[in-house]
Amino acid sequence: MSKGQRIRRFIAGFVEIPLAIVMMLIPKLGYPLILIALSLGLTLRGARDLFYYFTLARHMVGGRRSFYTGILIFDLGLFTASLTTIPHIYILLYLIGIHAFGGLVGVLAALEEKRHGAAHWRLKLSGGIVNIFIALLCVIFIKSENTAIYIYCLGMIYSGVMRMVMACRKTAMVCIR
Amino acid sequence: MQKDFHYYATYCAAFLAGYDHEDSLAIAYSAQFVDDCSRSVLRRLKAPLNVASTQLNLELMEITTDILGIQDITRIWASFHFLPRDLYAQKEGCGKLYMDKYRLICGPNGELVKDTVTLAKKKSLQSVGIAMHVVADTWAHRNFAGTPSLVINNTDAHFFEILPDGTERKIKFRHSLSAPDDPENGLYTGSIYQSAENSIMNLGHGRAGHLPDYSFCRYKYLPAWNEYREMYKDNPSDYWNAFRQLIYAMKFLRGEYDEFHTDTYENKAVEGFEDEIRAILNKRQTESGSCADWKAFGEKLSGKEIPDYNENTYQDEYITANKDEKSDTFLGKFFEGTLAQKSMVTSRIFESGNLLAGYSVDPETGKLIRQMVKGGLKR
Repeated sequence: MSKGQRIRRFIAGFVEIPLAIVMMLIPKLGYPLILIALSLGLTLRGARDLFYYFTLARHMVGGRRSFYTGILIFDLGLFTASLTTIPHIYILLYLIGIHAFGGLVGVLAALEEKRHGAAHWRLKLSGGIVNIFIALLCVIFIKSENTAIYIYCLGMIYSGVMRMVMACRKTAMVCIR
Repeated sequence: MQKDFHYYATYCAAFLAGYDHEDSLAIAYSAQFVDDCSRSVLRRLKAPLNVASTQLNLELMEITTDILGIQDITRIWASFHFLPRDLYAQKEGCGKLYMDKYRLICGPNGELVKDTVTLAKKKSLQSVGIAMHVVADTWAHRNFAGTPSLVINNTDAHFFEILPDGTERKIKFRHSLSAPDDPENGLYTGSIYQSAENSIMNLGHGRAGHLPDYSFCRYKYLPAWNEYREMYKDNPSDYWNAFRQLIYAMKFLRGEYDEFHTDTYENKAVEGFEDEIRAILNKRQTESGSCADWKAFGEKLSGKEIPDYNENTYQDEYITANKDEKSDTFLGKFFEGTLAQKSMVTSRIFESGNLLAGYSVDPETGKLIRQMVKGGLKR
């Protein structure tokens, strides 16, 4: 992980925690804030993946993966931006879906990285499983909107802490001369 | 390639090319020191930092892979360890961002090999050694680029070793520096997969571990850049060519030939030794065993003892020399050689319209641009 990646990851984690707290305290303000941040993040990430695919990865063995993830994430970002005037319960459902999807992607990415022999795949796998578990809990308690929000926010705090921990972890260096 | 080839085999090649024992040792030391001349060593020597010919793991850990960091890495690794084969290579339907990386793929017998050898003509023995390191590595490191790039240097699980009996065995890469490679069981250390394009883990042949450095190794794999076409790498054959090309190049540098041609190899000097050399190249062993075999062969050739390589051999001489005398010391001449090689390769890459190695020095005006000023030419 380069210094830039560490800083980006740390900031993302750092922003996620107060956002979760705001959402727990003032759900009405928290929802739009989360949606804006989520939409911006997803759209930019998707655009970056697509740019990477069209300029570089399309010529690479296995590079099509960044195209599919780019399209999906970009699309999700745009969709998130459109969710502003519907009842909170639907927004919550959508956020749960995103969480579950993020968890699934995390699990799949961890398994893929394990095949490539990447470090920390276990941490990524456990993060993915926890994400899916939180989404499930939210679905179970969805009738009690506040409980679901609290569970969701706890998941966000967990995710933020994980990002910050990952950013601070030592990266194993195996450089071959 | 490692010490076995850069030091001991280069000594043998130099001796077979006609150099005497002492000169062969100087060439061999210089060839190996290319792998040790890092900024950490240069700081200790109070030498100019921009003559570095390698980067240590710790240095790479500290470097940022923004454009300036990438240029710094590329200047060093493309100039000394992954000499680009064709800076003007063509590939259908690819944009400039991709082509800039693709054109840095290393390979033997490119124009830059000729430039490298010619640059060392009528120069010090140290420059000869540096050139021999660079030429030898074009064989071992072919198909990888001296710049961090996932789309060029990545390898995947499709990686098989071809054993001496012709059977194929899937190679398992692990990521522990403390665990030595285990050729008998097909366990090798490689760099960790990182999906970030410019991660330092994607520099050179890191993802393929030390396989390119083992002369005995034959393997096939899917290079990230080769459109899903499998590539077969025959190290014993490549190393045999490398050894004969080094002898030919040094004969040219000694004045036996007027011009250096690529794809030309010395056969006469190795007559009577082919079986012995091929036996060393084919023997399934890691670096220490190979060093011992090449050393024994070299000592048989010259009848003199070849001292074990010691990185510090010439360092005291440089440190204690007066400021004005430093350039006349062994390492002073080595540093002039590395600076010339780095300048030449950086210029060629820059002239091809590729900025991945940074800006270049104008040899006519001597005008220093960006990276040389940044590195500091002052002693």
